[in-house]
Parts: sequence; structure tokens; C-alpha cells
Amino acid sequence: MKYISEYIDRELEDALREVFEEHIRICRKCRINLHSMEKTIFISKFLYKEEKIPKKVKKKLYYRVRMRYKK
Amino acid sequence: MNEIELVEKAKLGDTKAFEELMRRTQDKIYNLGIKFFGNKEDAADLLQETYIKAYESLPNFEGRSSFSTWLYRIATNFALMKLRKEKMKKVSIEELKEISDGSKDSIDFYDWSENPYLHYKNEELKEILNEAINSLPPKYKTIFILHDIEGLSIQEVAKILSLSVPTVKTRIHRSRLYLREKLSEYFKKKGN
Repeated sequence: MKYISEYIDRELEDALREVFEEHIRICRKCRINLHSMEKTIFISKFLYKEEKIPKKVKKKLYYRVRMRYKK
Repeated sequence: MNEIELVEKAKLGDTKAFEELMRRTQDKIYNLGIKFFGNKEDAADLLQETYIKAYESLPNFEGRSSFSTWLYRIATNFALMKLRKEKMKKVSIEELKEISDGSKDSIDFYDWSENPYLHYKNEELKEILNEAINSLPPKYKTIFILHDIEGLSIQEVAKILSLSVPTVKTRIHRSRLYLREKLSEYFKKKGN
């Protein structure tokens, strides 16, 4: 169980990774854990649409930064 | 001109070089703000405060990380302060610990990975997940967003937040467990 996140993040060393994969093949509980964790991360990636910065915000940003040049 | 050259010029007082760095990175920083706060107003604040702080701190930037990573650090620190101030956390850290300790079996062997409601276009599901992310304590939320949504490596996140790699790993894992639990509850209600 505790290796699930490390497995997903490819942080497990090769030997441990192999042991983990073998375990996942035979253990239903851990397989469900792994798959549901992967799906949680997958769905999270679709939560946000890329937003454009509104013109007004951009204008204010450059104005405020340029005011700092003078200091 | 590459980023390193632009940073060097900006450090020597070339404001055009600094603005070019801004142009190259501003969309990312603004969108990071939207993910942290969930609204455009706070994202606009984060954008401005990040670049003002970056301009003021530029003489201290030693180039040990990329300029973008450095900006992420400034932006995340700003977000953490604001999120903590607003006490946006609805779940106590103790609750997260309880989940992470495995003291209760968070998914009860309930397999929803093939559930028909599991679809990235399911708006209800996305809303549940969004709410769950927003209810994470700031120190978990920021790490989850940086790693699992923005795609930064564990090592990069550790650098940005000045945390150890094991701490980042633990927090990512706890966040995922918590979020998965919220999705499991949703799927249980929906049935298989």
C-alpha cells in the first residue's frame, strides 16, 4: 500500500518496482487501490481550463511593475 | 535570447529583458493562481505580487534554479500565505492523518475504476473533486497542484517549497488518499 504513490511517480527502484508489479498482479485490494489512485490523478488534470489573462489585468501588471523601475 | 541571458540583462537593469521574461512566464503564473484560489481576482493578485517581488528580489537571484522555478517559488509562497490567512482549510490535518494512517480502509475494496460515471467530462465528478482539492489544507493543496496538476517533479516541488523529498512524497500521498476517498464516496452513492 505505501508504495502506491512512489510507483505512480516512478520513484521506486527497479527491483522494488518488479516486486510491486508482481504483487499488484495477484492482490486485488492493491490493484483496486492503484487503479483508483491513478484515476483520481487523471481526472484532476482535467479540472482546469487554460485561462487567458484579461487585458485589464495585464495592463495593471505592467503599470505596477514599471512603477518599480522608477524607485 | 535564452532565459539565462535575459536574467543577466535584467539584473543589470535592462527593463525590456525583465518584461520579456514576464511575457514568457505570465500565462503560467496566472493559471497557477487560478488553480490555487479558484478565482480570477485572486489569480490577478498573485500575478502582480509575484512579478513585483521578482523584480525587487532579482539582485538576489543566483540562478541555482531556472527563472521559472524561482517564480513558482515566489508565487507558491504568496499563495500559501493567502490561503492560510483566509483559513480556507475545511479539513483538519488530523483528519488527513487519519486517512493516511490507514486506520480506516478508505476504499473498502470498492472498485470504481471502471464506473461509467468515471469520465473526465462528468461535470458533477469534477465539481466533487474540485471541492475536495479546495478543502485540503494549504500545505497539501499547493503540493498536489504543483505535482499532480502542474506536472512538476517531486524534486522540483521540494526545491520550490524548501522541503525534503520524503516530506513532499508523504504529502502527495496523503492528498491523493484524501481525494480518492472523496471520489469513492461519490461513486458509492452513484452505485456501480
